[in-house]
Amino acid sequence: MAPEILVGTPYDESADMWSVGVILYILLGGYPPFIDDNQRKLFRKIRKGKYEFHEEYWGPVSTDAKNLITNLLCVEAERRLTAREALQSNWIALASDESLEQHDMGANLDQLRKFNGRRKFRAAVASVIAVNKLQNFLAFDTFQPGCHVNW
Amino acid sequence: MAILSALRECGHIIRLYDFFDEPDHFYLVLETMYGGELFDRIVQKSYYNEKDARKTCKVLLEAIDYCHERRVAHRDLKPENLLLRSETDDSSIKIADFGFAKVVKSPQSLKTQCGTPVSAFMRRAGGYGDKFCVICSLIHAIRDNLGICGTRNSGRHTLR
Repeated sequence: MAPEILVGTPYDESADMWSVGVILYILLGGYPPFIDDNQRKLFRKIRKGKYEFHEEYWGPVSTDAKNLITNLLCVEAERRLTAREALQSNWIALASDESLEQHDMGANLDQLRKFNGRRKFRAAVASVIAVNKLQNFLAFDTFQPGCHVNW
Repeated sequence: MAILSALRECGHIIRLYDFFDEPDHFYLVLETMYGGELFDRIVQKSYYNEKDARKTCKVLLEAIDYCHERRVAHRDLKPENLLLRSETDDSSIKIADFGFAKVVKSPQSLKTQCGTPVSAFMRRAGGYGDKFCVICSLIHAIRDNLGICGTRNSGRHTLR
C-alpha cells in the first residue's frame, strides 16, 4: 500500500508502481522492504519510505537493480518512475543476460521460501477466520429474521 | 467487468470470458491459471539469479504499462495476484484480481483507501471494516479452496 494511500491524500496509477517496487524488492531480496510487528510503526516506515538494502542479502545484487527499486519506492508519487520509464531503466533494458546470471541469489531464495511459507500460513488462517465469521453471521441472521445487516 | 473486458487484448492479464448476473448468483467465467501462484513457482527452483528476476519483472511492468496506458489503476498488486497460466512456462505470468481496479479520469483523482494490508482498511473503515474483511477473505477462500469448478479441457472455470 503506497504512502499516499495510507496518508489519505488523492492518488492515481502511480500507487501501482509503489507496489511493483515492493514486489521487486521481495523478488530480489527474498523478504519485504517494510517489516514491523507493530502496525503503527510499520505504517510510519511506509509513510517515510524507510527501508534498507541489507548487505547480507543485497551484496550480490546489482546496482542497476537497486537503483530501479529506489526509484519505485519513492515516497513522492510524482518522482516515482512510471511503468514505461521502468521498462527503459538500465536493469531492464540495458543489463546483459550474462552479467545478470553472475548474480546468484541462493541465500535470497531461502529467504523467499520463508516469506512465502509465512504468507501462505496467514492466508490459511484468514480463510478459517472468515468461514467462522460467516457462520456466525448466518446463525445470527437465521435466529433473528427481522434483523438487517447494514453493509 | 467493464475494466477487465477492456484489457482483454493483453497477454499478461487474466481473461474474462463471460459473466452472468442472475437473481441469486453472480457468475464469472475466467481463464484457468494452471500454474498457480508465481511465488510458489519461484520457491520451487533450485537455482535463482537476477536474470530470472528481471524476466519476471519485465513481464509485470509490460502488463502494468498496458493497464496504465488505458488509465486503469489495479490498486491491489501483490504476490497473491500474480498467477501463472502454464504448469511449465515460468514466463506465462498474468495479473489477476481486478476487484479494486478503477479508471483514472484525471491525475490524483482517486480517493478510496484500498489495497493491502486489509487491516489498514479495517481500522479506518470502523464498523464496516469487519464485514469488509469477511468479504475479502471469503473471496480468497472461495478462489483457493472451495467453489472453483469446471473442466480443464475448456480452459475456463466458473466461480459460483
